[in-house]
Amino acid sequence: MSWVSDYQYSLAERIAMRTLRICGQIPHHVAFVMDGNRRFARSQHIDKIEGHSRGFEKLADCLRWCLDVGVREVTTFAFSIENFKRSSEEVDGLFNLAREKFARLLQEVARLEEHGIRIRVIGNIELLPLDLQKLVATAMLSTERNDKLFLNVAFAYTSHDEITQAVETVLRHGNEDIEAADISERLLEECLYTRHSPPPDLVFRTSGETRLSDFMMWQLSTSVLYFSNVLWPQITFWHFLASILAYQRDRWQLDDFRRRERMHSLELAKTSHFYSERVQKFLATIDEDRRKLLVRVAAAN
Amino acid sequence: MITVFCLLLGKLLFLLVVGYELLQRFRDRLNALARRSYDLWRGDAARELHERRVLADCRSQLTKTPQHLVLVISPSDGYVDALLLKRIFGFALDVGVKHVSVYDKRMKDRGFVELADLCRSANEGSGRCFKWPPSQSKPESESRNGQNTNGYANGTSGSHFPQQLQLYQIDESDGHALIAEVCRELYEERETPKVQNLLSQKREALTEQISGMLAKRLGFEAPEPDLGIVFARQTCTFGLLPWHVRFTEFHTHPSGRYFDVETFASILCKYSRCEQRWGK
Repeated sequence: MSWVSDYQYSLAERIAMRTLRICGQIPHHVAFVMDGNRRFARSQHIDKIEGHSRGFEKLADCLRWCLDVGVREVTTFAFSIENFKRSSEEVDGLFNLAREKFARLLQEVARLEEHGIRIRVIGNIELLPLDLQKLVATAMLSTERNDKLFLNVAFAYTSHDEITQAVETVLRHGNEDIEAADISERLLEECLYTRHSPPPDLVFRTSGETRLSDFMMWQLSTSVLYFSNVLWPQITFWHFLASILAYQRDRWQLDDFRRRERMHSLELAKTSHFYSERVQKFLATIDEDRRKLLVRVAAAN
Repeated sequence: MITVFCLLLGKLLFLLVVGYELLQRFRDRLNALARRSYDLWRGDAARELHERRVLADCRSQLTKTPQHLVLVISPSDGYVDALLLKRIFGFALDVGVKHVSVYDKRMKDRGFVELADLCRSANEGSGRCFKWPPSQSKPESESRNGQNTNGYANGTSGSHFPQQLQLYQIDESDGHALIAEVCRELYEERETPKVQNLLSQKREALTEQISGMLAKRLGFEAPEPDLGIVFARQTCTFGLLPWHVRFTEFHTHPSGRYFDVETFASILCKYSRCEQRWGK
């Protein structure tokens, strides 16, 4: 199963997609909490891992829909650090699935290049088995020049870990470059794993749960949250379009709030010397270090 | 040709959505008017009796009760006022909720409710922790009943109800800005053995440290909110405590829709049916 499916649209689906594209604003960044794989597996009397595998197939469909509808950035919550609490059999099964999918991704780099898809894994990848770390790092490096659709896969991720990592980065690397007065929300935001991504416009969670499960808690303060009762492997194009329609309906009510937040962020950037040479140098160092780490992991035996 | 057809379809869809929204708002207001009139007609005593009955019924059905309820009021909400908040505090107290936080995103001149005006301050220093009802003066110990402070509690099935509710006014500076403040403090102490020791350990140690420092700065000790009611036409956190609401179950109550004891009971019942898996 490829990372971007060859989904065949019906005529009605084509018309509906085009209508939404013409008549309303399409979210730039959509985040998915792909919940319900195991419940789906139970309901179908199939193995849990098969449920996760079906979930991945839906992700491939979803990426195709996003690409065609005009979404430019997708973030998916694939594996939480909390999921390490699951049985070792299930965790190993999930890692095997990830190995298979990332290996597949490396085989179809040309296809991803054709679509301009860049894969970024956000999370504490050092918690993963070494061979998986290597696959992940290679996949990220192989697609780093693509810039049409960004796919962020949250793997071994929680917001607490991400925010702690940002604080840790400041404490470890800020020594020579920055002053205490430079530290603000704006700077911390740039130290998150999602440093190069805008905040999600729409967060879509399946399976009827109405919590966020420690996913992008920092970034989603201005996002439209959309909860659907459908289990992730059962999601259809129409569920996806319904979420886009809900976004188009709700976004204008958040516009004032978003504008105020943007102004606040700009003001903060000014007062905390965000655009100063020393802060920008510090951020460039972070980028450099992160890339070096990927190169090192990808080259490891 | 197909583009024109899609454009027309889009216009039609837009009209349908706007029409539906308007009708729904009209229905909500009409319903609110009818129910408020009924409440006025039957009098306070009868209404309170009915509320007690509904809450007693609700309590008997709940398998867990939230320990910490957070009320999020959107910047454009025009319907949540001091009276409604007082009623919600009363309902919460009745079912055994111990802590209620209010995160009001409205401006001072756009309906913002100052909790200090509703209650007397229980903590002279910070001025953001209150008790409800304000008439009782006995301070309650925060850590009674073995409750988990500074950690996620996910409801309680205990039968002890607090005599007074702990109320907190949450401000937007308690969100991202507070985390940045904690980072700044740690950065200033980066050369000290304490911070160096944290950096030499696993990341969880630093996470714990941040949690502790945030709790101290927030000025109150309470478990993380387990239920949130968002008063808005759309679901959004509006920047509410990014560190603390990771496992909060959110329920959106559309602005303008009447909020009464039945609404509150149905939210609690829905919450009670939710299963937290904690990643397992």
